[in-house]
Amino acid sequence: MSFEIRRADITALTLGSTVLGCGGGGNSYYGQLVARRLLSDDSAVPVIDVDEMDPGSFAITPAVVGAPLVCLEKPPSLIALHAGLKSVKAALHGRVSAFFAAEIGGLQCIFPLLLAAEAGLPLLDGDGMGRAFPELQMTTFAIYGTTHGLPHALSGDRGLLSAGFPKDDDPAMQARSSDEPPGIRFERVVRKICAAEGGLIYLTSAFDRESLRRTLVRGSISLALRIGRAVESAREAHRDPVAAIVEAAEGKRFVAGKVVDVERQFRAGHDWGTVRIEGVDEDHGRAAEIAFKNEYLVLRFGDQVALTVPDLITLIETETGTPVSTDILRPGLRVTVVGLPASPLLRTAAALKSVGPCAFGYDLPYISLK
Amino acid sequence: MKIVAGIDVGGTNTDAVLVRDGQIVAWSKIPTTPDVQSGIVAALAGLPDAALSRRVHIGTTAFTNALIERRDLASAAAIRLGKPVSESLPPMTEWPPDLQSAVRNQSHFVSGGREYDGRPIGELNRDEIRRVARQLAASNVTQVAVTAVFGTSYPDDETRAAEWLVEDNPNLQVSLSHRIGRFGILERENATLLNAMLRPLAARTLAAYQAAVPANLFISQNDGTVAHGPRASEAPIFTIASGPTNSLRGAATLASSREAIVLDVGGTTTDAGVLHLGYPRPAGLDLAVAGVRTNFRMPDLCSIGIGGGSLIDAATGAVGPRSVGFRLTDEAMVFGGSTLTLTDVAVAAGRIDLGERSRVRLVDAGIVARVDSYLRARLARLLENYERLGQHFPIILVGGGAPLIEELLRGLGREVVRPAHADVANAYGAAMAQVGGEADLTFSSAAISREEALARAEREAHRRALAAGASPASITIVELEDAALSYLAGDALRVRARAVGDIEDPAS
Repeated sequence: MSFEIRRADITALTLGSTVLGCGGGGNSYYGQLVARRLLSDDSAVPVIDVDEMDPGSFAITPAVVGAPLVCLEKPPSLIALHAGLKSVKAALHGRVSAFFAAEIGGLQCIFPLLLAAEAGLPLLDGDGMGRAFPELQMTTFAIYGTTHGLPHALSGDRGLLSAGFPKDDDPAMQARSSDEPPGIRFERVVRKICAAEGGLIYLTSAFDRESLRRTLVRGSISLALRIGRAVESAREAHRDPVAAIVEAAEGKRFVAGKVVDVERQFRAGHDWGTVRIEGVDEDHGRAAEIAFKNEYLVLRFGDQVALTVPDLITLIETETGTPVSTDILRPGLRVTVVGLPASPLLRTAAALKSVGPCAFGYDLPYISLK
Repeated sequence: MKIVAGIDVGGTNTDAVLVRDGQIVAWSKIPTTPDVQSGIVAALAGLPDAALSRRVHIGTTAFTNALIERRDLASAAAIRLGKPVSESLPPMTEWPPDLQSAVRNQSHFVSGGREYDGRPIGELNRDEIRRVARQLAASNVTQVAVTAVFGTSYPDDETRAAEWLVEDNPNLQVSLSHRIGRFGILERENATLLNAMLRPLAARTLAAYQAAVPANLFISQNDGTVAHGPRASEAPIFTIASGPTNSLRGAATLASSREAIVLDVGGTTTDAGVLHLGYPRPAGLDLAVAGVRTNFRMPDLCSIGIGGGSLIDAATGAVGPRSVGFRLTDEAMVFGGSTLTLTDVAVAAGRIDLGERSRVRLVDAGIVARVDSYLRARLARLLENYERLGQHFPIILVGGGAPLIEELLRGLGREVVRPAHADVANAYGAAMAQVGGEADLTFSSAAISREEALARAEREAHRRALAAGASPASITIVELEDAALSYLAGDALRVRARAVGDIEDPAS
């Protein structure tokens, strides 16, 4: 089942990952440019299933934590990525066999690809979300008790900031007040450091093979590629790119219309808001409303809730198949609302506490696509 | 009394209008000349009393064409302030190879730049800048683009670097990113570099224009405002998308409308755009200029394949998208041809009088009805792109094909305005343009409220409109928006404001 990612696949991969970003996950354009600069035409990064990792080995996930807008002035930092990798690798004494993305949605899938290409190691076909989420405790690793990686490192534009080597049986790691999701304390601390360090830092973490076999959302790299390629070939053949996405991702088309209104407010460091869409053509007369907090979270038709997080609600520019992120929403955009099913790992009772509607402040039950 | 001449230098024609207190009092249209200037002189000569105008506003594609054709471009140096931030994306990343090879651009990374909250990434270093200035002198480069990380919010480093560069090498001309582009370092730097590459051409061209016109010269810009000649020669990149903007604004102003949809019906397509507060609504996507990504905005235009030369399927009533185009007068049936076009159907239906009506007597009422029902559906869908349910903007109809659909639109219950002089709308749009200023700022808002941040952006935009020559009393804010730098505690804010105002003519 393994395959390779080449330089020519970067556009399709990031297009697909932006669809899975559900309106968030960060703009991947600068990441794509960096990846195309660093990958040579003949480099090929093998993509493997987590089962194919060497027993006893670790996989490393480099990620950026911070404000997507800051990324537009501070493109991906290779100094930070290399410093984080060096620190974590040293702590593992060489037992590194792969890289992977903590978050498939948006920008984050680029960093493990870069480091895997440089190291000549494979990329795991999977991630910790199957989409994009705004906070660190919203990964399947945090939800199912593997915390934020052992060991991990924080780094910035000038190199290493701090390194952590906790043991997974350390009681301090498990301590939390009972009604809080696991991992939320680490999220709060990292967010503080991030704000103090220019709004953008890099978190590099290592996870052992057995934890990943238990918690990884599998197949997300190949899904992103499949979606991206489907859009590209639909564009070439002048076919409907939205239909191509729906087919590639086994999703559902909800409504095609135009954005008529965007309301936003900024609270507690997040971009909250509502976008209203009026149906056009065959959907004339239907009106949808989507609530977002960085990502699209709840889709309503009138009083009827049609779909909620953790299922994926994504907006696609109808004509081009380009995913529409929450930060570029504006009246007049012609979009189609598409729903995609969340990974089963996100739909358990335990997961819904961390990533269900209530985790985002909505007093709503989870309405799923299936 | 204000008298202004507006000129649109198009690929085919050079149009001129003389506007007195907002009204067109004379107009002329002559073929564009290869040297442009003599066409401008001739077009102005066609206007009686042109000598009375205090100002001449010119819309030109000279700089767009230079970039597209890769000619008359100067070599430039990109200086990025913010080392080591952003080193992963050097200047000119993914520029088209032929544009890169048309010039000998060079890049320098030096200390400077700020974080989002204003803290320095590194201090600007006098010696480092001096070394760069020496290298530029050695390589005979005179055009420089300076871009600092977070330069739109904290422009001081760019300004000081420019002062030092010119101090070290008085031959240098420096384009500053915070005066050219918006948030987004690479797109802003791209625009600034393109600007630097155009400046020598702009200086020559605008000097020639100024020599050709007897009044104060202003140049049309992307955002629908004009810039005074000397300012425009410092920022020629701002002219790059001024054509469609002038056309929309000209049409709307002719129709005395500030909220309207403009439909321009040509031979092959009908192009639509919408105006809000008198300015075109911008498209969401970034504008690629000559294959280089910038973060300028184009008007949000929609085009459908319906025009005077569109081919008709008599059986279904389908119109276009294929068209006989400029061969209309040879191929349309009313002109003795054998192709059934939308023009023929309009003649048969008695909507226009063109060619010989007897040649289309076989176009019966059934065909007209089928074509009409097709057009109604397509036009309704086109308009739907710009309107909310139940909302109707007036429609301003311009272009040679306007009579073809006017009656249909009225039949849809729409208010239709067909302004006089619509065929010189671009030149009129240029003549009626105001001056403006824009501010794009970020605030670490622990200490400052959203209202105060917006107020500061408004004040800055106001100040820049004033500097561009606006009369203080006439300045209004036409755009104001904010966005949070989400994920940061303390709600760091990005705010953007744009102000416009009437040009204050010097007392005569």
